Amino acid sequence: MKIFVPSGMSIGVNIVSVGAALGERQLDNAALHAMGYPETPDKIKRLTGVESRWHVEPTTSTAALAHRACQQALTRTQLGAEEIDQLILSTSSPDRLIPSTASDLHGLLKLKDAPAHQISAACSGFLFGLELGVRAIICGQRRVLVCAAETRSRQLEVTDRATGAIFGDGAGAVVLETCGAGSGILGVGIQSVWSEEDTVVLGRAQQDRLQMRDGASVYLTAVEGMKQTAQALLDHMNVGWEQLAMVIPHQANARLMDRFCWLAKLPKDKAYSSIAHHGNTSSASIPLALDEALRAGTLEAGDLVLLVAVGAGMSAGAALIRIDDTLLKSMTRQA
Amino acid sequence: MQDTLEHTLRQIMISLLGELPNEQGSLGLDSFTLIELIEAIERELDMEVKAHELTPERFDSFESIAAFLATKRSQ
Repeated sequence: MKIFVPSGMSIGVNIVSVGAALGERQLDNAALHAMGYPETPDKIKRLTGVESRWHVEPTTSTAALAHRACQQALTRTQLGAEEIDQLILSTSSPDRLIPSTASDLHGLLKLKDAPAHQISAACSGFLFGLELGVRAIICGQRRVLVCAAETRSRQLEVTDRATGAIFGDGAGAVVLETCGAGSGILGVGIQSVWSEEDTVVLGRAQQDRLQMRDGASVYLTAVEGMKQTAQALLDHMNVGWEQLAMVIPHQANARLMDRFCWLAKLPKDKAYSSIAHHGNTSSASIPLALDEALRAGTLEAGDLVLLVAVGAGMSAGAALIRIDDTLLKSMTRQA
Repeated sequence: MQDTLEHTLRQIMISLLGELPNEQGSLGLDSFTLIELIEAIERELDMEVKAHELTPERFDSFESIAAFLATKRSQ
């Protein structure tokens, strides 16, 4: 894994605010079952941990969903769009191929001449974007907006047992700024390991349906990958699991997160979970969960938080963050 | 030891599938059931199943699963 340690530089990089947005329609398990999903509401909950998820309306684009999250993050920092130097959007559910959804988001935000990048690293995409954003700040950008947005519901067949109940739509965004060395994002690592087994596949973003083959293998591989990725970063940073106030894993499936805790010997209450009411929102799941954890007041200044994800490809990433007062204060602002 | 392992596996299978499986017949487990089976094995038999160990041959029948677990436990 390639690990970047901004805390070792003369300046640091901090997350100064988080914003989030969900699809407009909340679908509980009973509603999904009524739409043709082949399992009962109770069994959906038992198999996945999901009790409800949010789907966008047909007229809501991925860019529009991302815009709501970004606007909230900007409002919380009391920044105008003109103060953003760079936009990075992670999505594996783009509205169209050209122009990019990042370009459409750039237009909705009315950014000036800030470049808009779009990346695709499946469920690890937010951490890939965060890594790029951190590097941009270290290289001289003042403020970078990193967003992950997914409208996975457009890529689902509700009747498909493997995928129909797990996924939801959402977006999360963070604003990055410089801070004192040794604060904020202490380290971030990403990696890609090509796998010849196409276990999670989507051909064309808006025409095809997501396929998940060999789900049990995906489950075991993802858990092992998350544990190894997290351990690699923690070892590099010389931080023990017991020093972490919270771990925010990619919200893939409640069973997967439970197994991750078991493998890492991490108390379950240290692993933040929003899967029950968000579902799996792919690359948006980590910033959505971070937003919720911060707003719930479950984190304090000085707390160490580990973010970790594994996605199709295979892609994987982890970030170690020290929560500070700037972030906590911004999250108390109405947005 | 082997009898205990097979007995526990049989109890797990009954709880998951609702009936005693034909020992040599293919179980045809779907992914969700396979995940529940792995979790039950790990919980009840205190054994970790690794991703690379999850092959169709090993998890095809009651007999193949029992043989895999017995080999794993003896190592």
